[in-house]
Amino acid sequence: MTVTGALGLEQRYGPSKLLRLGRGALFLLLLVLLASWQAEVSLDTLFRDLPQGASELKAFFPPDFSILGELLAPALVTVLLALVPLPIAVALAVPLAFLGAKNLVPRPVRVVARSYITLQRNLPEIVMVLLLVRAFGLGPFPGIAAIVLGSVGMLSKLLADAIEEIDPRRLEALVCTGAGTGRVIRYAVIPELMPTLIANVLFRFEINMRQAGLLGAVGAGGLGYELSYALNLLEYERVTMTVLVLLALIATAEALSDRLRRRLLRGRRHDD
Amino acid sequence: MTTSAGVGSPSTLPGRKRRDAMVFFALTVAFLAAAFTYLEINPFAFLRDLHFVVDLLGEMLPPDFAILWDRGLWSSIGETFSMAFLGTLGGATLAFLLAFLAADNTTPLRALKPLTRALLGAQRAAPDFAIMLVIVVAVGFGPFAGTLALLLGSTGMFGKLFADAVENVDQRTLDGLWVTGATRLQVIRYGVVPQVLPSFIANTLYLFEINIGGAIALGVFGGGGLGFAMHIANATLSYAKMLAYILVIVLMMIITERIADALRHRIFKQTQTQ
Repeated sequence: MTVTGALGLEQRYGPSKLLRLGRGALFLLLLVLLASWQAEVSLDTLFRDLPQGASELKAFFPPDFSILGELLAPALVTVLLALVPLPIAVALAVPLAFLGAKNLVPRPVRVVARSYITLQRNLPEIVMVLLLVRAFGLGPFPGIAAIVLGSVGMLSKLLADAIEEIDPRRLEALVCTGAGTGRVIRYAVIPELMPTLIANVLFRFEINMRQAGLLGAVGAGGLGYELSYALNLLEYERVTMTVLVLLALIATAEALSDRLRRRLLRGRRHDD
Repeated sequence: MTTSAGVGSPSTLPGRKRRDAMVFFALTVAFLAAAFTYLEINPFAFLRDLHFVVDLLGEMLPPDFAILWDRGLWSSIGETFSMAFLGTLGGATLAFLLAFLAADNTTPLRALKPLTRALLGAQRAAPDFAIMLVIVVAVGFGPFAGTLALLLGSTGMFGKLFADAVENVDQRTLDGLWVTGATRLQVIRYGVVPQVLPSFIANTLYLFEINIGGAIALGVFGGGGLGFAMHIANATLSYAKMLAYILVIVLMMIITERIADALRHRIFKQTQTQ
């Protein structure tokens, strides 16, 4: 692919190619200008206020290490906000994925399930949590519920797609032996699904850690709540410390899930 | 293809596997019970309090589509799109440049690799809204602060991905170029870029989708755009308006996803026919 690219140099860089590139660049430039106008980008802000504001960032240092002890309980809440939704989401997403796979269910069922999945996937978690906080009040429950629903949206889409990609011959082979739907699912679909499930549950765990911080700030508790609380009190040294703890948690979660993924998926990869 | 859970031979015995599964299940349930107790959540309270959800829905319906005729809505949509667009473009460009410093096979200086990787790691770990809150202290509220937060977050997320892609290119192509006496930049331009460009573009489109959601979330924290408009409706208890905003958000995200999907298909078709 690259070799042909290099050999086809003249043809690829003839005048028409240059013209096309130029037109693309011009179009992109226009888009950038339009967007900058909309997003109120100002070079003044960027080159004058930002450096000036950066000096105000001094207020954030040094981090207040003395509150480390106070942050342990909120940190645990944040971890739980990320962890508790996982098994619940898997329990909900797997059946939903079956309903959304065209090789397992009739068309109308699939349409309904897929519509719900699309809706759920495109509803940002922040919207979910604002609604749930309105309904159930502040506290970890609306946060957990929002993360569960967000995880269900993502996992069920990926799993349903994975089921639809299963080689139909594997399913037929089982049907030929007289297996019912339950057995086909148990012995053909689930084994094929496991690697996708494991990889994405771990990936989702990383996303959930980030979300847990964010949702905490709108009332779900944990480190996010501590963060917005300290900001409201203008205690910037506390803010820095809280961000540092959150950062450490997220980095740990990422490293942990990377390692687990590699361990769990070893020996499964040989068929792709 | 091994069947399910087991990798080693003894664990694949059916009885053992079943027991493992049951132990795993029991542990999960115990963990959930402990977590709910610690967080003082009664999972069944959900059913008890379900009428609150019904009440809320009652107040939200029917959605107040009068906002559609409000010019403010269109400028909010424009703001959200612009934040996501600039954040993605800026973030992807920075990530693209940093990726070559962070990849083994292209970095001009060995010491730069761990340095760049650490920088990207820190950017990736810092949640967008935390970056945003810090930027707000510097530049004040508004879509520009949100744009900068998205830009930095995108750089962290995609710098690593891009760097890994660069490290995974076919080394023989690069060796072939080196022996012709090509400079480092030429090797990158003619050896690395053609190999990684399709995946870069596909990922950038994906990044744009994520950033639309991110722009809405940051809006709630004062970044402007649709998120802020929805937040205001929520704060003023105008639920019917809020639902209309939510529907606009969902529709916008679905349309973005479709367009990104279509573009991705086109790009991959093009590279395949080349």
